[in-house]
Amino acid sequence: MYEQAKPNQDLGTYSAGVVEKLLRDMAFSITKTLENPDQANVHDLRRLCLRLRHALRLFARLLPGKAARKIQKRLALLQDLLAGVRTTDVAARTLQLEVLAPSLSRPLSRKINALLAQERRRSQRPLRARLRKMQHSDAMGRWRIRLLAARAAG
Amino acid sequence: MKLRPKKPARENASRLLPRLAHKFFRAGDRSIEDELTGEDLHRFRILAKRFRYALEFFRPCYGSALDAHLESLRELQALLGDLNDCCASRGRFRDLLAASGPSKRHKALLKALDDLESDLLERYRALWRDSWEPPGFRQRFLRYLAHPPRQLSELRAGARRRPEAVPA
Repeated sequence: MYEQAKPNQDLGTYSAGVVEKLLRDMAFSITKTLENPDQANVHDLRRLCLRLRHALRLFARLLPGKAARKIQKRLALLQDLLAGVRTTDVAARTLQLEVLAPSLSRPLSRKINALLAQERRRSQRPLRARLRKMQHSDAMGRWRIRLLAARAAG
Repeated sequence: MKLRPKKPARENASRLLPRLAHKFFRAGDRSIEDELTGEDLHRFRILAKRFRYALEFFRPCYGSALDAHLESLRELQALLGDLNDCCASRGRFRDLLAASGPSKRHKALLKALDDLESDLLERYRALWRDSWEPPGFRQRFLRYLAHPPRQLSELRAGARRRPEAVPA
């Protein structure tokens, strides 16, 4: 996944490579999710968001200043929105488990699925708005520049 | 732990990852206590996830030999994820069905999810004991993390850099 990073590089350069790769992947994933916010795309974006947050936390000493902290906050916000959608996806998938079939009548399954679909539509709206805003403002590109500046200053 | 930005990534990895592994083992040993429920394992699930991400960030320092450990960790996380999904979905269903009042059918569904949770917990504990508990394995894993192997490409580059022998 992070094969372009070299073990002998100093950690500053190495971590910048890791973060840059995650930012690139996220930009791609945001576009994909906006085009089609299905289960898989939302899940992939959420995983990338978690990875990037963790990378920024782990390498915090190498990326000092306000920029990284601000990006962390933005990512936390995005993750909350993604979690809202993901929770309904997980519940819908659990409902399809074979072990639950004997205890789940068809009307009950239909009823829960309808409620979940309604909830997903509701939580999808703010997520799409947020992603559209991030895409229009090229958030990943801006974050990259800010982090590079933070690294140079540190 | 303080990372050293000017030092090579490999050196930082060899200091950081064994510490994270220790933390992971300690929390994992506590996670299999009998009285813990699926919800109690949430924190450990997050810790395991962070540990895997850290291993993945430094994978280029260890090469393909790390993949087997990553795979094993993924397997553990998949079970923890299923447990979490089961508990989260139960809560979700309970909320959604609360409006229509209690019924036998609702209770049967929630009971089936309780049973699923117990089954997953049992499988999780067995997996931890089999794969992550053996002390011999732990020592080998910690030693491996503390001494990242040199990659073939680096050994070749090192050989090329070696100065020519000066003829007497």
